[in-house]
Amino acid sequence: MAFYADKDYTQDEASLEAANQVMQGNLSLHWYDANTEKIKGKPADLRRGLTYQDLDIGSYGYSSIPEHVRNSQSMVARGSEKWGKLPDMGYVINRKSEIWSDNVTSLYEEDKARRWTPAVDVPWIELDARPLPAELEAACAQLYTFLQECALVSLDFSSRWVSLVNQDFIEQKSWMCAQMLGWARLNEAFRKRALYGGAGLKRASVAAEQGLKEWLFADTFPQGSFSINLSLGGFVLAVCRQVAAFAPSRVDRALMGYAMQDTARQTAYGYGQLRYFLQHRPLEANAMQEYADETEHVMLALMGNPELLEPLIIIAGGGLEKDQVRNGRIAVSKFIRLVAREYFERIEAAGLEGRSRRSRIPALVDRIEVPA
Amino acid sequence: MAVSFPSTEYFEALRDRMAAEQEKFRRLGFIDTTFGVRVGHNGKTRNFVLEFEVFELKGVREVDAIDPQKVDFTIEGDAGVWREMIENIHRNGEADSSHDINTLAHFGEQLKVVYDSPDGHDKLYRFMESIQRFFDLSSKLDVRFN
Repeated sequence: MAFYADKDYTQDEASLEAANQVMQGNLSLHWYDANTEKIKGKPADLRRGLTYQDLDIGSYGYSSIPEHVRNSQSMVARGSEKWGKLPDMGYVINRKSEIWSDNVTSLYEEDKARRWTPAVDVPWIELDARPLPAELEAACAQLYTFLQECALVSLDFSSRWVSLVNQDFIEQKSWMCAQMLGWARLNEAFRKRALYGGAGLKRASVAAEQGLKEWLFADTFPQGSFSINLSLGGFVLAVCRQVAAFAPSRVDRALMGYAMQDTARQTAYGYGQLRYFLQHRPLEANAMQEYADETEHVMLALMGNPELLEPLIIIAGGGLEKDQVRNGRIAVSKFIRLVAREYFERIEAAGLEGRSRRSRIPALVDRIEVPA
Repeated sequence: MAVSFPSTEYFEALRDRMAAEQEKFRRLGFIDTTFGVRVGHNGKTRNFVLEFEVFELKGVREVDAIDPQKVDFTIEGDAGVWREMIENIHRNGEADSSHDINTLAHFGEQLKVVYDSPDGHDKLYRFMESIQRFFDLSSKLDVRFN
């Protein structure tokens, strides 16, 4: 056991007697006049229902969370009265700038409103009516094998940190749970797509997994969020857009249409978190640049590995004939440029100025470019 | 009655269809974005600003120029590309994968997405299913092209 409660409640006569008194009808009502604020929540827009934004009121609101959460280390819900010997949960993220993004609550509400169900929202049976040629189906199987690796590590990232975040950040923790559910849903969709097509799963990517493990185990949340939410999220978003644009079937187009919405939300949080962090901790920009210097190579492990590039080429070209592969290579070359351009756009807009000039990525992208 | 493209009346007709089919859009979830549509023709452009809120198109207006600070993103392209998309939607009931907004704008070679903030740009993808479904309602309109 890592923790023992302050007493064994089966042995505590005082606790049993208190319960007995209540059940005898002698209510204490000591909670009735709790020293808390009385408010009345009201939906700003009935079409949207009652949202967390509607409850951003007084001491209950997230706007009033200070940068340093000093006196709240138990699991008490923000705004309730603290009394007695509440346990110290040992949270390690107690600074708002380390975790917060101004879009957290809207992303959380949006995530729930725009949820989808892979089991029924993807027209699976169309693959029965119009099966893909074997080489295209195999390429899809490899692609969706790769994407599962991305989804699973992203799920792990939120789950690795959520229990370490101070309970005062209720909306943030709720968003992290939504992120986990979102990545679980994407993993489900990618897995079902691969297995429904009949080609099974294909090969794992050593380069991607080595790199993703480096990102997953970043020392701090802002660093890991920069890598997983912003960089990986933006990368998977671009893959979804690419596959939707060259979709070999209506199934792939529908799936990627939903998937791009989910991954765009992850990216939006990653962007917002990095921006919030750097706005409130400008002196940390150099350290973040150095972190990017060290770990940015993973971008190349992701977008340069054959387990991704080859299926993307076959899908974009439509097959394995010489002309198809040539067309596919050109399309994937444009995709790599797009990934790199948008990656630098996001992180520079978030506050890491001059990143594209400092980075090794642009020169390496030049080396694998295919002229149109 | 036919509506012309591009025009405010075209987008208002889509807005009315969207309201009539609100249940479908409710299933897709909130759509909270304001974006521009720019249509080029013979060296001139016509510019529209579309403001979506919750499940509906709250407002549409034609403007002389789109202020990038006041929109999340702008989709721009020649009238011919827009026409091809709308005619494809009319033929198929919805855009096929060669003619949807994602494909046409993917490499910026047919339609182009311009934006000031990457966060605004990403909203196109956060709400893509609703935005595409909105344009797919063109299948229920009689559209003539200016």
